[in-house]
Order: sequence, then C-alpha cells, then structure tokens
Amino acid sequence: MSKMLLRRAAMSIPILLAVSVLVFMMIHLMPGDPARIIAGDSATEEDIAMVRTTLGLDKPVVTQYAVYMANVFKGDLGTSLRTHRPVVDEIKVRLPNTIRLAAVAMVLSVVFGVAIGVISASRPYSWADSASMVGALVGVSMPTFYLGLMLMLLFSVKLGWVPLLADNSLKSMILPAVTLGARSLALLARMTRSSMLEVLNQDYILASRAQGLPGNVILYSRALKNSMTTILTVAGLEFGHLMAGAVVTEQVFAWPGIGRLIVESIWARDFPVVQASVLIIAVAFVLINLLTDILYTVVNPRVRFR
Amino acid sequence: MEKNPAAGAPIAVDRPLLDIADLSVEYRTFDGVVSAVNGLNLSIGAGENLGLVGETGAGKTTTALTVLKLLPPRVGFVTGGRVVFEGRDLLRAPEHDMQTVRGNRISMIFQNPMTSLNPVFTVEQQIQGVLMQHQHLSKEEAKERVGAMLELVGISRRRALEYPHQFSGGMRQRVSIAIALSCNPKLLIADEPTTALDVTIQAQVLKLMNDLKSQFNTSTIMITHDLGIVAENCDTVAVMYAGTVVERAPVKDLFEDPRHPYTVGLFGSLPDPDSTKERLDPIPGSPPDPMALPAGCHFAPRCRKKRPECDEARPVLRQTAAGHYVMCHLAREDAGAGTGTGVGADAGVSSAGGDAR
Repeated sequence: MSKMLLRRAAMSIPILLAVSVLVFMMIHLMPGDPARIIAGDSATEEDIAMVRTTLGLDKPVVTQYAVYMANVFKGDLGTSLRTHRPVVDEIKVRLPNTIRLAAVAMVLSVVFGVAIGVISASRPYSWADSASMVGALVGVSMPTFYLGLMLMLLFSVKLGWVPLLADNSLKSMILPAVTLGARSLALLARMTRSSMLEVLNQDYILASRAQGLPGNVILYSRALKNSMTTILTVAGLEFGHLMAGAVVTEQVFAWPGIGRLIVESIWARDFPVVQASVLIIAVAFVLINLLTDILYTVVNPRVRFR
Repeated sequence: MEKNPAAGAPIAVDRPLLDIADLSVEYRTFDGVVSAVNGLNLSIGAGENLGLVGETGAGKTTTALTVLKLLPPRVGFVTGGRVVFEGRDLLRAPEHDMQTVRGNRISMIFQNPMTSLNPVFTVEQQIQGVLMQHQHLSKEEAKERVGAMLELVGISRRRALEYPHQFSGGMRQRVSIAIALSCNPKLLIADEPTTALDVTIQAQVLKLMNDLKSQFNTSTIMITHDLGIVAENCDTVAVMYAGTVVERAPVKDLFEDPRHPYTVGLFGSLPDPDSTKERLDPIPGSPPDPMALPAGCHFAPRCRKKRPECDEARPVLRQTAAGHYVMCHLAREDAGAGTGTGVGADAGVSSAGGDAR
C-alpha cells in the first residue's frame, strides 16, 4: 500500500516540473518584448533596460529557467514590481483567505451535494428528485459572476442580511462561499445520484435487503460507501477548481484572496506575482489530486492491494 | 414432508411452513405487462427440501423474491394470491415486519457469489450486520458468532477481516451461506446457488448446504434448472412452466413416473449414456410469450398429447397419486387418489385421457 502511494507521489513530480515550465514560459508567451510590456507605455529606454536586467531577460532562456527554479526551491518567488516587496510575503497574506473561502465552499458543496444526491437516488422520479435535479442543472449552468451579483443584490442590497463587502466575519463569507461552491454542489448532487442509483441496482444491495437490513442502513451505511469512489473523484477535482475559480468570485465580492491578487497583478503588469500565484494554484491542484488518490485506498479496499 | 423421516405424519398438509396459494405476479414494463407468475400453488413443510426446477423465465426467481417481498419497486406487482409463512400472510405484512422475517426467519442465497457480497465491506462486517440486526447481540458476541459461522462453512476465522475480492468464488458462496444461516432461519431459499461455480466446487458447496440444513433443521427451496442437483439434494420437486407449478411430487416418483407432458419432455431432452438413441428428443417450440399467454393450458401449443379442451380451459393442479400433483387435463390418476388437493379440484375434466405420457 505504501509502495502504491510512493509511486503515485513520484508521478506528481513530472507534472509539477511541466507546470513550472509552463508558468515560467508565460512571460515569453506574451507577444513582443516582455521587458517593454512589463515596463509599460510611458517607460524610457533605460527603464526597459533595467526591467530586462532585473528579471534576467537578457540571459538565455534555459539559464533563466534554471535561475528561476533554483530561487523557487530556496523559497524565493521574486519581487513584486508594484510593491517592491517579496512575492512570498504578498502571497502569504492572500493565500489563507482563498483557502478559507474554498474550504467553506467545499464543505457546503460536499455536505449538501451528497445529501441531495442520496435523497434523490432513494426516491427516483419523485417530485423531490425532479426538483433537486432541475436545481442542480441550473447550478451547473449558472455563470459564477452572475450568480454572485444576483445573490448580492438580493441578500445584501435588498434584504440587508449580510454585509456587501468582505470584512473577514463568518457572515460576510456566506455569499462568496455559496457563489463559489454552487457549481460543485450541483455537480456533486448529480454525480452522487447517478452513482447511488447504479449501486442500488447491484446484486449485493438486493442481498442486503434479503438479509433484513432496514432501508436507511442500506442507503447510508452500505450503498453510500460504495458510491464514495465517485464522490471523492468529483470532490477532489472540484476542490482544485474552487481554488482556481476563486479568481472570479473574489473579484465579484472584493475578497482579498489570491484570485484577486492575480487580477490586480495582471492589471499592474506585476509579472512575478502572477507567475507565483499561478504556480501556487497549480501545485495545490496537484496536491489535492494526490490526496484524493490516497483517500481512494481508504474507501475502496480493492485499490489498496494493487 | 413426504420424505422427511423426522416428521412421520404429513404435517405439511395440515399446516405447512410456507404455503403459496394462487399467486400471480406481473411486471409492468414500458413494453407491456409481463405475467411472470400465474396462479402458482406451492407449499413446503418444516424440514422439507424442495427443488424448484424450470427453464429460464419460468418464474422461479420471481416466486422467491415475492416470498421475501423484494420485487423491483414500481415494476413488479403481486396481482393476487397468498404467501402464508408460519401462519401469517406475508403479502399483507408491513415492511417493518418483513425486515424481521428477511435474513432471520427466511434467508436467501443468490446465484452469483461474485456480485452478491458487498465489495467494500469485510466479510466480518457483512455477517455481523445480519447478526446485530436480528439477534440483538453486542459487538463482541457478534464477532464471536462470526468466527463460529465462518468455521462452520470451512473458512478460517482469521480471514474474517478480509474483503470479498480476496476470496475465490466457492469461498464467497460459503460466506453467503454463513450469512444466510447465521440467524438460524426456518426457510432457506437458494437461487441457483451453484450455477456460477466450477463443477467440483459445486459438489462441495452442495454438500456443505446439506450438512448445515440438517444440522439447523432448515427447510429449503432449491431453485435450479439442473435435475441432477434435484435428484441428489431434494425430497420433493416442483416443476415450473410459464409462471406456474405444473407438477409436484416426491423426487423418486417424479423421476420414475413423470405425469405432466412438460416434465416428460424435460427428461426426454436429457442425454442418457445408456441409450442407443442417436439424437436427443427436445420439446418442440419455445415457452409462451409472457406478455400474451394462451387462453387454455399454457403448455398446450407445445404439447404432443394436446386435445381440444386443452386450448379452452386451463387445468388445475390436482393430486393424481399420494403427494403427486399434476396440472394437466390428461394426467392419469391412480385409483383412490381422488381430486381433493385443497387447491381446487376440477370436477369438470376427468382423467379421460388416461396416460398422459
């Protein structure tokens, strides 16, 4: 089992390397001279030359990458061009906010998504099932920015139940978390339902009914564990998406997270910050998927012995 | 009951353990209504081993699932009849009461051991679940019983914490048997318990079932399409055709003296190593479409002895010899056997046809 996990962890290394190359190349993918673009329209030739030396853009690309990676391993993600502070410090302030938001959104979507999915599957084609699935379809299709704005309009502006802007209270977190988690919640509800319906059709479920186990026991302590593999897969992927999806939600709610930092930095042509933020989100995505794989072995004994 | 040495008197006639009367079940599908069971009569006494034979689609499994009220919801419907178990009509019992019957008073073993155990729970958890549901044991007591049950079916108790995929097919069926017998049920329904197993493993599993059911004094309904299994493991046989029992007799009587043309045909389609015949003699045609059953005898379209009345009136199951029931207008009757079967004698049609064979 530990061998399997080691192998799986080792597989993350090439992925992370590829991610680092892509993130590093972002600066060279911009059309034109990166130094000129970063320096801005009103920059003098000296400014541009300075940017070029500061960022090491005058060196060969391979050398640039080697220097970049060496610095990353030292924990140095560069210096912000906007604030002239280390990028690491900028991110340290913003990242916890994003993780907190994504975690709350995740808990909301897993708890309600799975519950709705199980209830739907236990009464297929009932009105409760139809209503949930129509709601889930709306949730999956609704654009995040639109949902965010509408929720804000209703609950903050019209009803005044929650503050309009983030003030770090739990109350101000409700709307951003709901907005961010809506898609995952809907997706989880749909996937849980279809997985549960498939499981409930299996011979071993009929067998446990023939053993006299009550319906609730079969549903929640038996069939749900069989569906866990599907639920985990979707939840793992969605948690990654939540980190990335925070860009739009944080913008709509002015939430001081890493997503908002990215947008601010793009506007300010603060390239090292953009690079570092994207790298952090990509690494988080890979780690979450690794964690999902580890959790598989907990819910599915057949994976354990491979 | 007929061959149960312990019983002595034919108790099943007075009060059978399970008495199914005039049972009809249909499946309402998008394509139409499938009549899966049509006026089935069957009873089984305490300690009796009944073989239920018939080809695929004859309604064997549907009958078993109806006894446990496990027909697929929204599709399977009981349209008539009674299923009286220990003096109570299960078809009228509420779901909560059924939960105390299933796995406790009546157990079922399924055909495919590869799919009938839950893959994400250990063997111990699965046996323990049944024990704790019905026997109200503490966790420690239940664990102890799990070990004892496993040893009873020939599996080391050290393997209790393993998962189904770590066992072979034969071992898994042993685990299913351990689950089914763990609460000492009065009736065990085994739905083709060995069909999915290798022949050598089949014999082992059947021997184990026989040993255990005599030890526990459990009645069994052995659903199979293998007449060999019936001959070796059952006291009585009921032959099903198109959703009803067409002949029922003690094993020896049925094998020596089959009286329904369908049963006769079944034996005719078995290879006989002693015979000099070059070809088997199969029953012509195929079973009737369960969405459009014939008006008269359901076997009439394929019957070589068919008479005009066979197309008009459906025969009833009547006793033609001691313990030998046949559903045929033409079935020969032994002197004095009478028509009193308790399931409705058809006085209108005599055994004028004489020997139906």
